[in-house]
Amino acid sequence: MRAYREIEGTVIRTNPETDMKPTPVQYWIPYADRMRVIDALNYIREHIGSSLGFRWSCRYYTKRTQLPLGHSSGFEAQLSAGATPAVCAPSMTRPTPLM
Amino acid sequence: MSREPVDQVVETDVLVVGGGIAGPRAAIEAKRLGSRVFMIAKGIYGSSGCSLSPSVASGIGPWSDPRDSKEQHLKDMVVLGKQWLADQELTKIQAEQGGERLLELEKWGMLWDRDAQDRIALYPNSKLFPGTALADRWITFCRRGTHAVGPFWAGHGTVDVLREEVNRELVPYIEETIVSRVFVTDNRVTGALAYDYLNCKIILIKCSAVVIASGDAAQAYFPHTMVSGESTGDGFSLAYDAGAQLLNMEQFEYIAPMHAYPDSARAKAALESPSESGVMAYLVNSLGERFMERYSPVKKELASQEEVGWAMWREVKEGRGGPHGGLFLDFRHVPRDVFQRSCPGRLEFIEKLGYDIRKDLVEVFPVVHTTTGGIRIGGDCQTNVSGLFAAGQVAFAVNDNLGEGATGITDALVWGKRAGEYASIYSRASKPLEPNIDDVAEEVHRVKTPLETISGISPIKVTRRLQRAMWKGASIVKDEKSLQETLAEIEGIQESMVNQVSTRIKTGMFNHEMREAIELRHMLTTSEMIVRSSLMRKESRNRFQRSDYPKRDDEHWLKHIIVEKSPTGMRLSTIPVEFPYVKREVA
Repeated sequence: MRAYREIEGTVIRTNPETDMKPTPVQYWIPYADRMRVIDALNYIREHIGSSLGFRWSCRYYTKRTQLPLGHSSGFEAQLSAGATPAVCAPSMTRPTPLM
Repeated sequence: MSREPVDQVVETDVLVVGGGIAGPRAAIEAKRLGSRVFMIAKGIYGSSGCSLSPSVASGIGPWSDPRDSKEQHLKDMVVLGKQWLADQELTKIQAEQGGERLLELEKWGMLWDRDAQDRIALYPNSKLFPGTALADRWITFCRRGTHAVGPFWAGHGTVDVLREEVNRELVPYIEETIVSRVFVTDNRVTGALAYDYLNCKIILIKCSAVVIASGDAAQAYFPHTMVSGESTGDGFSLAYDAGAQLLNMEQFEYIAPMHAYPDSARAKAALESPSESGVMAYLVNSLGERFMERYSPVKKELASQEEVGWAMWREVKEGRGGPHGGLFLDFRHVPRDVFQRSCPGRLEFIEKLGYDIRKDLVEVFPVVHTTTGGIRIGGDCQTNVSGLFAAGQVAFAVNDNLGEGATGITDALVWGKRAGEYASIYSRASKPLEPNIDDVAEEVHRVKTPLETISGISPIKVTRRLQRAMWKGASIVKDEKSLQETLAEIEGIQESMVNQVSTRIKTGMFNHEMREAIELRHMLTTSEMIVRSSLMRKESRNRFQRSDYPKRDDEHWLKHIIVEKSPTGMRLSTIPVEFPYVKREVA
């Protein structure tokens, strides 16, 4: 019933250790119903390229409308077969801790 | 062994491990009392961990129902979970000081939801969740000050307000850093070692007091869990390795119908219970049977969370589960507009996943909500190790969060404040000790090993194997045999795989595998404690179910199980539960 299907996804990656030039990298991911972008990213990280680093805490919060302002990160888009997932690449900066 | 260098040394009085609610609250308190404080968060501070998830808070304050009292709150926290394992002395402190902490939060900027008369509004829990409490006691957060119609995000509000306060107090903190060990000399805390996985940096913290506030360990049951990925039990393992005692590690809570698929939906409840807010869904198995009719002929889906959980476990075990190891919620008889009216958020999410509730069955399974055991503390939050404090979910106080409900935020605020206060007092009175240089070198070597091992196993593979074994043998229903098998699996991983863990990428910035490798060590220790404690408790106690000892045995097992480190491995012992305030009702 559930046919095995692969989809192609492009992740625009940067490597902060060499240069910050964005490079598109293509991955083939087994597609399953109701899969979302973060599921695809997790699949890549676990099974294909572990060098892919991204922040995933947003997985937990899907109802953006209910969140206070300032917490708008979240993978909202739903992945559909054939579509190129839009991926939010983490910026490698964070607020300087007060040291 | 060579003397391994560290990249950075931080000297402070109080180190706070954890960036949720209890951690920042402790940091603020210690800083105000004049101590030097340093705080470490494993994710991004303010956007990670489970502290964001609670929607309501409970406590006794000016908003309370006149019939309600602190005594009643204490009683509910002890009784309603039906476990009878709460530490009543600690629970009493929480019942008495909870309201104070929630009000104080409002002074710092928290917007508790208010009603038309501008009083803090009560969330109608006694109507929505009958049987949880006698009177409405929960309050919730509302960002625009308008009266809330459903549960909002009190956790988000609390974390945000505390973060502003942390910045105002100029508490130094660092994010995306995992603590790998707390150093102890002669039963006194001397410091800790942390790994910053964003910058690939090893940090040695020299301090006289450590407050562990790192949350629970429910990730040990992934994917059957709803907690955020940070909850890997780091705090339990840090405390255990430091020599502290832990209580009732075998206890956990679970919630029944959560989305089984896809991974990213697992944190969401399809429904809080099959009958939430008047939407009466049927639970069916893969044969299409409404199986609750067999387990609970009268109440059916309205049976308690525990009964629904056991039934679902049995159905899946006996091979009537769905393709992702779950069962199905059937909404086909529920008119869409009724669903829309009573649970708009749930329906929106179900439809976002692509289900048409008029045709499709929604696959769900029970998940672990939180582990409820934890580090043994006294009223001053100190463990049996001098200078080691614990607060929040990682410490053992109220055994059961689901019984009374909504105790999480109050728990974290009350114990966070006390931990900060007593850690500050302790650090002022004690002379700091230098961490033992051999211990530091050994730990630095241990942290770096996965980077230096040329070929080996990826940490996430080992972690998944552990998690599968934990769910299979040590989760909702277990017996001697399944627990022994899980223990053998854990020991096998410890012996043969941990030393072979190797990151696939050898360079460092944002190398998640390094974090996973340290988390794996913590999760293994924590899982072993869970399994060994489960093996010891030879009875079934509400949410703790052993099929070989199906009866509750109050005569022999109204006891806390203590786990601690000994030269020969884990040592387990028991102490009786005491009932100083709420006397035990004989069922």
